[in-house]
Amino acid sequence: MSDTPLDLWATDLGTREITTPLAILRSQASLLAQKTSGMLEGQVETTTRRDGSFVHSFYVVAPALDHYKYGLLSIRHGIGLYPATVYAPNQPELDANSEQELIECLRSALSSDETRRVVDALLAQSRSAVSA
Amino acid sequence: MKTFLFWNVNRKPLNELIVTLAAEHSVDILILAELHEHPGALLQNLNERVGSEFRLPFSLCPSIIVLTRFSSEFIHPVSESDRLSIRRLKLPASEEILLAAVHFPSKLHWKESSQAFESAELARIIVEQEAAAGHTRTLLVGDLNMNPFEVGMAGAVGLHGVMTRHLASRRTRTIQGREYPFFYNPMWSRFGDRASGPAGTYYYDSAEHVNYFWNLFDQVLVRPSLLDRFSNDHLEILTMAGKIPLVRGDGRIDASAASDHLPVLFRLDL
Repeated sequence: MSDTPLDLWATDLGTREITTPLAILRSQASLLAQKTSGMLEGQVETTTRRDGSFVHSFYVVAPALDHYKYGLLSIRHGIGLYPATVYAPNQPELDANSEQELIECLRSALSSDETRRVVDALLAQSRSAVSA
Repeated sequence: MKTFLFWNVNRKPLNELIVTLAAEHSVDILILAELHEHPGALLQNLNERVGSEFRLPFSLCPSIIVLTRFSSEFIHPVSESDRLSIRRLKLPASEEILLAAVHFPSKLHWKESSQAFESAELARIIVEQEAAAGHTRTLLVGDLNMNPFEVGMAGAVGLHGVMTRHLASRRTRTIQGREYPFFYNPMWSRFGDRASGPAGTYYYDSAEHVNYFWNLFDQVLVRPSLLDRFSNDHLEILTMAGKIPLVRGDGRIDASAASDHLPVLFRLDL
């Protein structure tokens, strides 16, 4: 009888790289600060619901405007990460069944006219406030 | 005493009626949802007809328009989204309040469970802004697209809006070791035909087994710390704009003459 214990686990267990919705949002938050030279910041707030789901809310924050916050979108998912539901302005709730689908949903929301309207207005207001 | 008027105008060109209501009731703070056009024209009409200078304070929220009869410097937004605007309102010689105005997604587009989740998120944002402001003098108004008895409105994790001042005066309730602040929701008392005024603010008839017909989607809620400044006698669901009826002869809302929602008027001692 072999001394090696019986191993029934998948050989590649724990090696798959999974990017969580939270990590994706946080990376976009960092990028916003870079793209606006720090005039605007992205902020992600996470809450846990009593049904076990997680909600990540993405805000644009304008430090020069007394930290005014604008909620751009939110993502809700369960412990299994996907499907994740994306709530964005002017759109019905969208279910993303994979990381790639989530990225496409977020790309659509973050590059939308509505997002540009908010970011452009906050940038202009922030620059005025800083130069005043 | 300041007079507030909230109305979801259903994307209809109702500037004349809005101006009439603002003049008739000496409205100080006009809060509108689903305005059909940029508020510039309305602002001009108001200032021509009402005889005092209304302002359109800065905001990025596209679905809630707030016009004030006082300087924009006394009201500024602190947290907004496409359907929510929370502003600090600090008039001279009075204490600051938080004014949260909201237009929730309709049941046509969102499931009831999504509305309940959104209520929890709204409640969290309000508490966050109350912590930042250092007080809980908060007024919440808008088209919630939920009735006062629904989970998102009455649930502790949601807006926690209770039906009596006495309950609300407890300020908070503890469940499973967690403390949840109350709102007082005076709209509970406006249901049905024992209430003064219409039986709701929105009428919907559908061939379903459960049909409430009258709904109270348009609501005002106050935190317990504002109870002394808010009188139920000064809360009214309006059925007339000047001489123009907003309801038909049978009492139902006349959506062809105006909006499919009725305006809500209230006053707060500021």
